[in-house]
Amino acid sequence: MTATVALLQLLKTDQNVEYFVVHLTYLLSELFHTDAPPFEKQLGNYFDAAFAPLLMSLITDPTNKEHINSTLLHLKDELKRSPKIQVTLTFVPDADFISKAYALVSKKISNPFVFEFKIDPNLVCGANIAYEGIMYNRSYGSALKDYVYKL
Amino acid sequence: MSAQDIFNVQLLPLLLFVLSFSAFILLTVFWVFTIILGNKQSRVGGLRPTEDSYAAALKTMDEARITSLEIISKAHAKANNIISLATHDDATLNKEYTQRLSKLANYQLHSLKEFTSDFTQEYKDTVKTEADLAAASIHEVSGDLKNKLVSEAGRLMSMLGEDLLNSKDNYDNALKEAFNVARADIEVYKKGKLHDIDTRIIDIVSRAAVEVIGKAMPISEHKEVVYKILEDIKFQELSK
Repeated sequence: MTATVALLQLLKTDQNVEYFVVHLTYLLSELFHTDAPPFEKQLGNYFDAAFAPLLMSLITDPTNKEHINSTLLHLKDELKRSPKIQVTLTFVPDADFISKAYALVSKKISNPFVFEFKIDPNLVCGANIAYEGIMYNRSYGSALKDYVYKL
Repeated sequence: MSAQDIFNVQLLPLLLFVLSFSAFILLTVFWVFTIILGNKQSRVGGLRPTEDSYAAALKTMDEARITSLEIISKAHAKANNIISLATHDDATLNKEYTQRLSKLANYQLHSLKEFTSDFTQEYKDTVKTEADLAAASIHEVSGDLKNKLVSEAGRLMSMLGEDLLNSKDNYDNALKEAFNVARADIEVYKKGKLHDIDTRIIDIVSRAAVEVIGKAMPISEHKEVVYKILEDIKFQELSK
Protein backbone atom coordinates (compact mmCIF):
# COMPACT_ATOMS: atom_id res chain seq x y z
CA MET A 1 0.00 0.00 0.00
CA THR A 2 1.44 3.35 -1.00
CA ALA A 3 1.40 6.39 1.27
CA THR A 4 -1.07 8.09 -1.09
CA VAL A 5 -3.56 5.24 -0.82
CA ALA A 6 -3.12 5.21 2.95
CA LEU A 7 -3.76 8.94 3.07
CA LEU A 8 -6.95 8.58 0.98
CA GLN A 9 -8.17 5.84 3.29
CA LEU A 10 -7.66 8.20 6.20
CA LEU A 11 -9.20 11.18 4.48
CA LYS A 12 -12.18 9.29 2.95
CA THR A 13 -13.99 12.36 1.57
CA ASP A 14 -13.14 15.00 -0.99
CA GLN A 15 -13.81 17.69 1.62
CA ASN A 16 -11.12 16.24 3.86
CA VAL A 17 -8.78 16.05 0.86
CA GLU A 18 -9.31 19.75 0.24
CA TYR A 19 -8.49 20.61 3.86
CA PHE A 20 -5.43 18.41 3.65
CA VAL A 21 -4.25 20.09 0.44
CA VAL A 22 -4.71 23.52 2.03
CA HIS A 23 -2.50 22.49 4.93
CA LEU A 24 0.08 21.14 2.51
CA THR A 25 0.09 24.48 0.71
CA TYR A 26 0.75 26.34 3.97
CA LEU A 27 3.53 23.93 4.77
CA LEU A 28 5.12 24.42 1.37
CA SER A 29 4.89 28.20 1.70
CA GLU A 30 6.99 28.09 4.88
CA LEU A 31 9.40 25.45 3.68
CA PHE A 32 12.04 27.82 2.35
CA HIS A 33 11.89 30.44 5.10
CA THR A 34 15.41 31.20 6.40
CA ASP A 35 14.36 30.91 9.99
CA ALA A 36 12.17 27.85 9.39
CA PRO A 37 12.41 25.03 11.91
CA PRO A 38 13.38 21.50 10.89
CA PHE A 39 10.90 19.75 8.58
CA GLU A 40 9.64 17.31 11.22
CA LYS A 41 8.74 20.28 13.43
CA GLN A 42 7.05 22.06 10.56
CA LEU A 43 5.09 18.91 9.74
CA GLY A 44 3.89 18.63 13.32
CA ASN A 45 2.59 22.19 13.20
CA TYR A 46 0.11 21.35 10.43
CA PHE A 47 -0.70 17.64 10.70
CA ASP A 48 -1.65 15.38 13.59
CA ALA A 49 -0.12 12.06 14.52
CA ALA A 50 -2.27 10.14 12.02
CA PHE A 51 -0.96 11.98 8.95
CA ALA A 52 2.54 13.14 9.94
CA PRO A 53 4.18 9.67 9.85
CA LEU A 54 2.66 8.94 6.45
CA LEU A 55 4.00 12.18 5.04
CA MET A 56 7.36 11.63 6.66
CA SER A 57 7.57 8.19 5.03
CA LEU A 58 7.43 9.89 1.63
CA ILE A 59 10.46 12.06 2.40
CA THR A 60 13.76 10.23 2.00
CA ASP A 61 15.96 13.28 2.82
CA PRO A 62 14.35 15.64 5.38
CA THR A 63 17.20 18.15 5.00
CA ASN A 64 16.78 18.51 1.25
CA LYS A 65 14.10 21.17 0.89
CA GLU A 66 14.01 20.86 -2.90
CA HIS A 67 13.25 17.19 -2.57
CA ILE A 68 10.59 17.85 0.08
CA ASN A 69 8.99 20.53 -2.12
CA SER A 70 8.79 18.35 -5.25
CA THR A 71 7.53 15.33 -3.28
CA LEU A 72 4.74 17.26 -1.58
CA LEU A 73 3.75 19.00 -4.82
CA HIS A 74 3.48 15.63 -6.48
CA LEU A 75 1.36 14.39 -3.57
CA LYS A 76 -0.95 17.39 -3.93
CA ASP A 77 -1.53 16.55 -7.58
CA GLU A 78 -2.23 12.92 -6.82
CA LEU A 79 -4.72 13.78 -4.10
CA LYS A 80 -6.50 16.26 -6.34
CA ARG A 81 -6.79 13.65 -9.08
CA SER A 82 -7.97 10.91 -6.80
CA PRO A 83 -11.06 8.97 -8.05
CA LYS A 84 -14.35 9.97 -6.45
CA ILE A 85 -17.53 8.13 -5.68
CA GLN A 86 -20.45 10.53 -5.61
CA VAL A 87 -23.00 9.56 -3.00
CA THR A 88 -26.26 11.49 -2.68
CA LEU A 89 -27.98 10.98 0.65
CA THR A 90 -31.07 12.22 2.45
CA PHE A 91 -29.11 13.08 5.58
CA VAL A 92 -25.80 14.67 6.58
CA PRO A 93 -23.27 11.88 7.07
CA ASP A 94 -21.30 11.74 10.32
CA ALA A 95 -17.83 10.28 10.85
CA ASP A 96 -19.12 6.84 11.88
CA PHE A 97 -21.27 6.54 8.81
CA ILE A 98 -18.40 7.66 6.56
CA SER A 99 -16.02 5.14 8.07
CA LYS A 100 -18.44 2.24 7.78
CA ALA A 101 -19.49 3.17 4.26
CA TYR A 102 -15.85 3.54 3.18
CA ALA A 103 -15.07 0.14 4.62
CA LEU A 104 -17.97 -1.46 2.78
CA VAL A 105 -17.02 0.06 -0.57
CA SER A 106 -13.30 -0.63 -0.14
CA LYS A 107 -14.12 -4.33 -0.11
CA LYS A 108 -15.63 -4.02 -3.56
CA ILE A 109 -13.25 -1.53 -5.22
CA SER A 110 -9.55 -2.11 -5.58
CA ASN A 111 -8.73 1.44 -6.73
CA PRO A 112 -8.15 4.21 -4.17
CA PHE A 113 -11.11 6.57 -3.90
CA VAL A 114 -12.80 9.22 -1.77
CA PHE A 115 -16.47 9.95 -1.26
CA GLU A 116 -18.07 13.10 -2.58
CA PHE A 117 -21.28 13.50 -0.58
CA LYS A 118 -24.33 15.48 -1.64
CA ILE A 119 -27.62 15.96 0.20
CA ASP A 120 -31.05 15.75 -1.46
CA PRO A 121 -34.12 15.27 0.77
CA ASN A 122 -36.22 14.53 -2.32
CA LEU A 123 -34.63 11.11 -2.48
CA VAL A 124 -36.84 10.38 0.55
CA CYS A 125 -34.87 7.32 1.49
CA GLY A 126 -31.82 5.41 0.24
CA ALA A 127 -29.00 6.82 -1.90
CA ASN A 128 -27.97 7.55 -5.47
CA ILE A 129 -24.38 6.63 -6.27
CA ALA A 130 -22.20 7.53 -9.25
CA TYR A 131 -18.85 5.91 -9.99
CA GLU A 132 -16.79 5.68 -13.16
CA GLY A 133 -19.63 7.31 -15.10
CA ILE A 134 -22.27 4.82 -13.99
CA MET A 135 -25.30 5.85 -11.93
CA TYR A 136 -26.69 3.53 -9.31
CA ASN A 137 -30.07 4.98 -8.37
CA ARG A 138 -31.15 3.28 -5.20
CA SER A 139 -33.42 5.90 -3.67
CA TYR A 140 -37.15 5.87 -3.12
CA GLY A 141 -37.49 9.25 -4.88
CA SER A 142 -35.78 8.00 -8.06
CA ALA A 143 -37.85 4.82 -8.06
CA LEU A 144 -40.99 6.90 -7.69
CA LYS A 145 -40.09 9.13 -10.64
CA ASP A 146 -39.23 6.12 -12.82
CA TYR A 147 -42.54 4.52 -11.93
CA VAL A 148 -44.58 7.63 -12.77
CA TYR A 149 -42.73 8.27 -16.05
CA LYS A 150 -43.40 4.69 -17.18
CA LEU A 151 -47.16 5.08 -16.59
CA MET B 1 -130.33 110.97 -114.82
CA SER B 2 -131.66 109.56 -111.65
CA ALA B 3 -129.76 108.79 -108.50
CA GLN B 4 -130.08 105.13 -109.23
CA ASP B 5 -128.42 105.67 -112.55
CA ILE B 6 -125.61 107.67 -111.06
CA PHE B 7 -124.94 104.87 -108.49
CA ASN B 8 -125.06 102.22 -111.12
CA VAL B 9 -122.74 104.06 -113.49
CA GLN B 10 -120.12 105.59 -111.16
CA LEU B 11 -119.98 103.64 -107.80
CA LEU B 12 -120.51 100.07 -108.82
CA PRO B 13 -117.13 99.60 -110.45
CA LEU B 14 -115.46 101.26 -107.49
CA LEU B 15 -117.26 98.96 -105.08
CA LEU B 16 -116.28 95.95 -107.12
CA PHE B 17 -112.69 97.14 -107.16
CA VAL B 18 -112.61 97.62 -103.37
CA LEU B 19 -114.13 94.24 -102.76
CA SER B 20 -111.74 92.58 -105.17
CA PHE B 21 -108.72 94.30 -103.60
CA SER B 22 -109.81 93.33 -100.11
CA ALA B 23 -110.22 89.76 -101.15
CA PHE B 24 -106.77 89.87 -102.72
CA ILE B 25 -105.22 91.26 -99.55
CA LEU B 26 -106.93 88.65 -97.39
CA LEU B 27 -105.86 85.88 -99.68
CA THR B 28 -102.29 87.18 -99.71
CA VAL B 29 -102.14 87.44 -95.93
CA PHE B 30 -103.65 83.98 -95.58
CA TRP B 31 -101.13 82.61 -98.05
CA VAL B 32 -98.20 84.24 -96.31
CA PHE B 33 -99.47 83.04 -92.97
CA THR B 34 -99.95 79.60 -94.41
CA ILE B 35 -96.44 79.63 -95.79
CA ILE B 36 -94.97 80.89 -92.54
CA LEU B 37 -96.97 78.42 -90.51
CA GLY B 38 -96.06 75.66 -92.92
CA ASN B 39 -92.42 76.51 -92.70
CA LYS B 40 -92.59 76.61 -88.94
CA GLN B 41 -94.39 73.31 -88.80
CA SER B 42 -91.98 71.70 -91.19
CA ARG B 43 -89.03 72.99 -89.14
CA VAL B 44 -90.51 71.77 -85.89
CA GLY B 45 -91.61 68.51 -87.47
CA GLY B 46 -88.07 67.89 -88.79
CA LEU B 47 -86.48 68.05 -85.31
CA ARG B 48 -89.07 66.12 -83.35
CA PRO B 49 -87.94 62.57 -84.37
CA THR B 50 -84.34 63.29 -83.27
CA GLU B 51 -85.37 64.59 -79.88
CA ASP B 52 -87.72 61.67 -79.33
CA SER B 53 -84.93 59.25 -80.18
CA TYR B 54 -82.56 61.01 -77.84
CA ALA B 55 -85.02 60.79 -74.97
CA ALA B 56 -85.82 57.19 -75.84
CA ALA B 57 -82.15 56.29 -75.88
CA LEU B 58 -81.55 57.93 -72.51
CA LYS B 59 -84.53 56.07 -71.13
CA THR B 60 -83.19 52.79 -72.51
CA MET B 61 -79.80 53.44 -70.96
CA ASP B 62 -81.36 54.31 -67.65
CA GLU B 63 -83.40 51.12 -67.70
CA ALA B 64 -80.28 49.15 -68.51
CA ARG B 65 -78.40 50.80 -65.65
CA ILE B 66 -81.20 50.06 -63.17
CA THR B 67 -81.33 46.45 -64.37
CA SER B 68 -77.57 46.13 -63.90
CA LEU B 69 -77.73 47.58 -60.40
CA GLU B 70 -80.48 45.14 -59.52
CA ILE B 71 -78.39 42.22 -60.84
CA ILE B 72 -75.37 43.25 -58.75
CA SER B 73 -77.43 43.92 -55.63
CA LYS B 74 -79.07 40.48 -55.91
CA ALA B 75 -75.65 38.86 -56.40
CA HIS B 76 -74.31 40.66 -53.33
CA ALA B 77 -77.29 39.57 -51.27
CA LYS B 78 -76.81 35.99 -52.50
CA ALA B 79 -73.13 36.10 -51.52
CA ASN B 80 -73.97 37.31 -48.03
CA ASN B 81 -76.60 34.61 -47.74
CA ILE B 82 -74.12 31.88 -48.71
CA ILE B 83 -71.61 33.13 -46.15
CA SER B 84 -74.23 33.36 -43.42
CA LEU B 85 -75.45 29.80 -44.20
CA ALA B 86 -71.92 28.35 -43.84
CA THR B 87 -71.60 26.24 -40.72
CA HIS B 88 -69.08 27.98 -38.54
CA ASP B 89 -68.77 29.98 -35.38
CA ASP B 90 -65.89 32.19 -36.34
CA ALA B 91 -67.25 35.73 -36.10
CA THR B 92 -63.95 37.22 -37.25
CA LEU B 93 -63.93 35.26 -40.51
CA ASN B 94 -67.62 36.06 -41.05
CA LYS B 95 -66.98 39.74 -40.63
CA GLU B 96 -63.92 39.61 -42.87
CA TYR B 97 -65.76 37.94 -45.76
CA THR B 98 -68.83 40.15 -45.41
CA GLN B 99 -66.58 43.19 -45.61
CA ARG B 100 -64.73 41.77 -48.61
CA LEU B 101 -67.97 41.10 -50.48
CA SER B 102 -69.29 44.56 -49.63
CA LYS B 103 -66.10 46.10 -50.99
CA LEU B 104 -66.39 43.96 -54.12
CA ALA B 105 -70.04 44.97 -54.70
CA ASN B 106 -69.25 48.63 -54.07
CA TYR B 107 -66.36 48.43 -56.50
CA GLN B 108 -68.61 46.91 -59.17
CA LEU B 109 -71.38 49.43 -58.59
CA HIS B 110 -68.85 52.22 -58.85
CA SER B 111 -67.44 50.73 -62.08
CA LEU B 112 -70.91 50.42 -63.57
CA LYS B 113 -71.74 54.00 -62.62
CA GLU B 114 -68.58 55.28 -64.29
CA PHE B 115 -69.23 53.11 -67.32
CA THR B 116 -72.81 54.41 -67.68
CA SER B 117 -71.66 57.98 -67.25
CA ASP B 118 -68.99 57.56 -69.92
CA PHE B 119 -71.44 56.09 -72.42
CA THR B 120 -74.08 58.72 -71.70
CA GLN B 121 -71.50 61.39 -72.42
CA GLU B 122 -70.48 59.55 -75.58
CA TYR B 123 -74.08 59.41 -76.65
CA LYS B 124 -74.60 63.11 -76.06
CA ASP B 125 -71.45 63.89 -77.98
CA THR B 126 -72.69 61.76 -80.86
CA VAL B 127 -75.99 63.63 -80.98
CA LYS B 128 -74.27 67.01 -80.83
CA THR B 129 -71.66 66.34 -83.46
CA GLU B 130 -74.09 64.58 -85.78
CA ALA B 131 -77.09 66.84 -85.52
CA ASP B 132 -78.43 65.74 -88.86
CA LEU B 133 -78.29 62.08 -87.96
CA ALA B 134 -81.46 60.29 -89.00
CA ALA B 135 -83.83 58.99 -86.38
CA ALA B 136 -83.08 55.42 -87.42
CA SER B 137 -79.38 55.98 -86.78
CA ILE B 138 -80.13 57.40 -83.36
CA HIS B 139 -82.14 54.30 -82.54
CA GLU B 140 -79.25 52.13 -83.66
CA VAL B 141 -76.89 54.04 -81.35
CA SER B 142 -79.21 53.65 -78.39
CA GLY B 143 -79.61 49.95 -79.17
CA ASP B 144 -75.82 49.50 -79.25
CA LEU B 145 -75.49 51.32 -75.95
CA LYS B 146 -78.14 49.14 -74.41
CA ASN B 147 -76.37 46.03 -75.65
CA LYS B 148 -73.04 47.29 -74.33
CA LEU B 149 -74.53 48.14 -70.96
CA VAL B 150 -76.21 44.78 -70.60
CA SER B 151 -73.09 42.93 -71.69
CA GLU B 152 -70.99 44.98 -69.23
CA ALA B 153 -73.43 44.15 -66.45
CA GLY B 154 -73.16 40.50 -67.44
CA ARG B 155 -69.36 40.71 -67.35
CA LEU B 156 -69.45 42.26 -63.91
CA MET B 157 -71.91 39.59 -62.85
CA SER B 158 -69.56 36.83 -63.98
CA MET B 159 -66.69 38.61 -62.19
CA LEU B 160 -68.76 38.69 -59.04
CA GLY B 161 -69.56 35.01 -59.47
CA GLU B 162 -65.88 34.09 -59.80
CA ASP B 163 -64.93 36.22 -56.84
CA LEU B 164 -67.78 34.72 -54.90
CA LEU B 165 -66.59 31.19 -55.68
CA ASN B 166 -63.01 32.13 -54.88
CA SER B 167 -64.16 33.76 -51.68
CA LYS B 168 -66.06 30.64 -50.71
CA ASP B 169 -63.02 28.44 -51.47
CA ASN B 170 -60.76 30.82 -49.59
CA TYR B 171 -63.24 30.85 -46.75
CA ASP B 172 -63.35 27.04 -46.61
CA ASN B 173 -59.55 26.83 -46.76
CA ALA B 174 -59.16 29.46 -44.08
CA LEU B 175 -61.68 27.61 -41.93
CA LYS B 176 -59.82 24.31 -42.38
CA GLU B 177 -56.50 25.99 -41.66
CA ALA B 178 -57.96 27.63 -38.54
CA PHE B 179 -59.27 24.26 -37.37
CA ASN B 180 -55.88 22.61 -37.98
CA VAL B 181 -54.08 25.35 -36.08
CA ALA B 182 -56.61 25.11 -33.27
CA ARG B 183 -56.25 21.32 -33.19
CA ALA B 184 -52.44 21.61 -33.06
CA ASP B 185 -52.74 24.19 -30.29
CA ILE B 186 -55.03 21.88 -28.36
CA GLU B 187 -52.56 19.00 -28.77
CA VAL B 188 -49.68 21.17 -27.56
CA TYR B 189 -51.82 22.39 -24.68
CA LYS B 190 -52.84 18.83 -23.78
CA LYS B 191 -49.25 17.59 -23.84
CA GLY B 192 -48.06 20.55 -21.80
CA LYS B 193 -50.95 20.18 -19.40
CA LEU B 194 -50.39 16.45 -19.00
CA HIS B 195 -46.70 17.06 -18.40
CA ASP B 196 -47.58 19.69 -15.81
CA ILE B 197 -49.99 17.28 -14.14
CA ASP B 198 -47.34 14.52 -14.18
CA THR B 199 -44.79 16.87 -12.69
CA ARG B 200 -47.25 18.03 -10.06
CA ILE B 201 -48.19 14.45 -9.20
CA ILE B 202 -44.53 13.53 -8.81
CA ASP B 203 -43.98 16.64 -6.76
CA ILE B 204 -46.99 15.97 -4.54
CA VAL B 205 -46.14 12.31 -4.04
CA SER B 206 -42.47 13.14 -3.44
CA ARG B 207 -43.31 15.78 -0.88
CA ALA B 208 -45.74 13.44 0.78
CA ALA B 209 -43.09 10.72 0.80
CA VAL B 210 -40.50 13.11 2.24
CA GLU B 211 -42.93 14.15 4.95
CA VAL B 212 -44.27 10.69 5.76
CA ILE B 213 -41.38 8.32 5.08
CA GLY B 214 -38.35 10.58 5.17
CA LYS B 215 -39.11 12.25 8.45
CA ALA B 216 -40.82 9.26 10.01
CA MET B 217 -37.67 7.15 9.68
CA PRO B 218 -34.91 7.82 12.20
CA ILE B 219 -31.41 8.61 10.87
CA SER B 220 -30.16 5.26 12.07
CA GLU B 221 -32.63 3.49 9.81
CA HIS B 222 -31.63 5.72 6.88
CA LYS B 223 -28.02 4.74 7.51
CA GLU B 224 -28.90 1.05 7.61
CA VAL B 225 -30.68 1.36 4.29
CA VAL B 226 -27.61 2.98 2.73
CA TYR B 227 -25.29 0.34 4.18
CA LYS B 228 -27.47 -2.32 2.63
CA ILE B 229 -27.38 -0.53 -0.69
CA LEU B 230 -23.57 -0.23 -0.63
CA GLU B 231 -23.30 -3.91 0.13
CA ASP B 232 -25.60 -4.90 -2.71
CA ILE B 233 -24.16 -2.71 -5.42
CA LYS B 234 -21.79 -4.44 -7.81
CA PHE B 235 -19.47 -1.61 -8.82
CA GLN B 236 -18.03 -1.80 -12.29
CA GLU B 237 -14.43 -0.61 -12.32
CA LEU B 238 -13.30 0.63 -15.68
CA SER B 239 -9.80 1.77 -14.71
CA LYS B 240 -7.40 -0.12 -12.51
